[in-house]
Amino acid sequence: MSAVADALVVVLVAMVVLGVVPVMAGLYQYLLVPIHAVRNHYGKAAPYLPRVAVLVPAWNEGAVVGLSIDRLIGLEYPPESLRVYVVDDASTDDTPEVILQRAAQYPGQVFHLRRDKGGEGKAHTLNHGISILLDEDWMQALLIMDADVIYQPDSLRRMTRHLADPQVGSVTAYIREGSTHPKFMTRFIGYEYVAAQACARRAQNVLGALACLAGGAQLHSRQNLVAMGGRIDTTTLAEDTVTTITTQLQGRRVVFEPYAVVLAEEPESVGALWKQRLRWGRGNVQVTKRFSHLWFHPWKHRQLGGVSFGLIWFSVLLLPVTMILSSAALVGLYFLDSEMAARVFQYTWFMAGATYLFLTAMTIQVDLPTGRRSWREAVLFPGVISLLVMMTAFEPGLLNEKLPAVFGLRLTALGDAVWTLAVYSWISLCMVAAWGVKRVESTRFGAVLTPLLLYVVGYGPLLCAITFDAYIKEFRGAAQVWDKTEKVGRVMA
Amino acid sequence: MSDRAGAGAGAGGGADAQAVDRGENADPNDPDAPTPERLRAEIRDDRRAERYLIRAGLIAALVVAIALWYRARYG
Repeated sequence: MSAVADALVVVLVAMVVLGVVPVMAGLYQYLLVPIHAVRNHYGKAAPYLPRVAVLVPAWNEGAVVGLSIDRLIGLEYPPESLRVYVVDDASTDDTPEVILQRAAQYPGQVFHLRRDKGGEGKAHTLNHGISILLDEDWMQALLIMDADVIYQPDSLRRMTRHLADPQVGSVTAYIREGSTHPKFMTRFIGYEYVAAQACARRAQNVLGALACLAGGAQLHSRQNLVAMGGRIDTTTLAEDTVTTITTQLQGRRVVFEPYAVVLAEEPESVGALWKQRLRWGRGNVQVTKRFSHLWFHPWKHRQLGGVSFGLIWFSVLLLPVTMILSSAALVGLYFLDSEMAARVFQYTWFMAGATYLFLTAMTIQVDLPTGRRSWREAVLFPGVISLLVMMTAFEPGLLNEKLPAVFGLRLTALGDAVWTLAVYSWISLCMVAAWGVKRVESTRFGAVLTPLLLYVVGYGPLLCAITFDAYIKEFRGAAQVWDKTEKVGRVMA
Repeated sequence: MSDRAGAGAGAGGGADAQAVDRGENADPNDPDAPTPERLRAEIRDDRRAERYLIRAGLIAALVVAIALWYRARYG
């Protein structure tokens, strides 16, 4: 083999190995989770019940806002220290009537703030309420939530106790998918939230830097709001992430409280999920650009600018890129040195498989009720096909030799080559397949085929496909539209 | 209620604007009232409850170890 070919092999192997970086970052993050048992913020928490103003942005939330208010008033929190302010963002449904009815039912505790110009997005709606609340001196802490979420009775006081530490600027809670009759999609999301919140945010507590306060559960001290200029960022689609990073850059801590549980209604269809996550994904791209001076610059901020946090951040953001690079490199390597390609594939996917086992076993245990409810989605998170690909790393020849042999078949050399290339390509083609699932959903067979296809293709690849779409939309400078996720009130505590 | 009315109703923090309730005013006979003792006990319990994460990590590691053993033995 020529020197050029040798060099090319090295480059391609490096590209495949690059694809393992997000896997290793995920494993690293999960290895931090048990450390939360000894390294957490409880040592600095104390009984602390400040006067909390709850700010609820509501745009056509008539179906859910009434129940949310009832639940807020029923929180196990001193009633004289709790007020609910609902910012009605020029709703055209019965939202104003529902809020006014609750304001009459709970005098002095529920307030209706009306915006006549609506539809500008959540951040504008919140800023309308924040400016009014900061004009008064009553509020000592502000809880920002969504109209559809339901706080468990003890959740708020479990959050406020961390504000007893003056170094803490904000506290967030554990958002749990809360449908009473979960469907395939909400079970996937339920499991995802255990991984992305109950696990990942504990790990970030250990690191001392949080990536994002949950939009539906952000408790800020008054001082923190004032220090941020009394306004939430309105220039990106990820105002909660900007708030989180700004708080930490200004020297205050952000804490995740896993025992403050908040139930949320989540999308039930691939299309609705795509719309919601595209907004999140584009927001993350915008935040990455906005704080470009921060990443991997520990002298700017020890934790946020640290290597650990940077790895975790970019592993999520760039996962689709690394998947495509890894897949393309494996295909290229196959034509240059097929044995090397097979070896590299086996090592990398063996690591991916072992990590998947660790993450799945851990995630199911961290929230057992959700784990029991969503164990199928936990196992099939990567999809049936990716699972089979992973199994070939544990059991070489499983799909191209042993499985056909069961039926007395043997692949020809050409068949074996096609099969191998298909397996290598799947690492990136799974995102195309996930996009296909979204397209199938809108056909007349969608209701039947979508769940089946999603289990085959995988929820993980679907999220990666949405992230990739977010790159494209941002690159093309697509219009920044606040697409609100439709809520119908399926969540009951 | 309009914005103006909302703001008006909310005013009145006054001189005690900085004072923070730490549960001292809660009724100790109300089982749901957040008294300082209950709040402290809750923090203690939650802190202790986090220990299950170590067990969860060990079980997850055991699952991986079994898979590695399987591969070494039969792979």
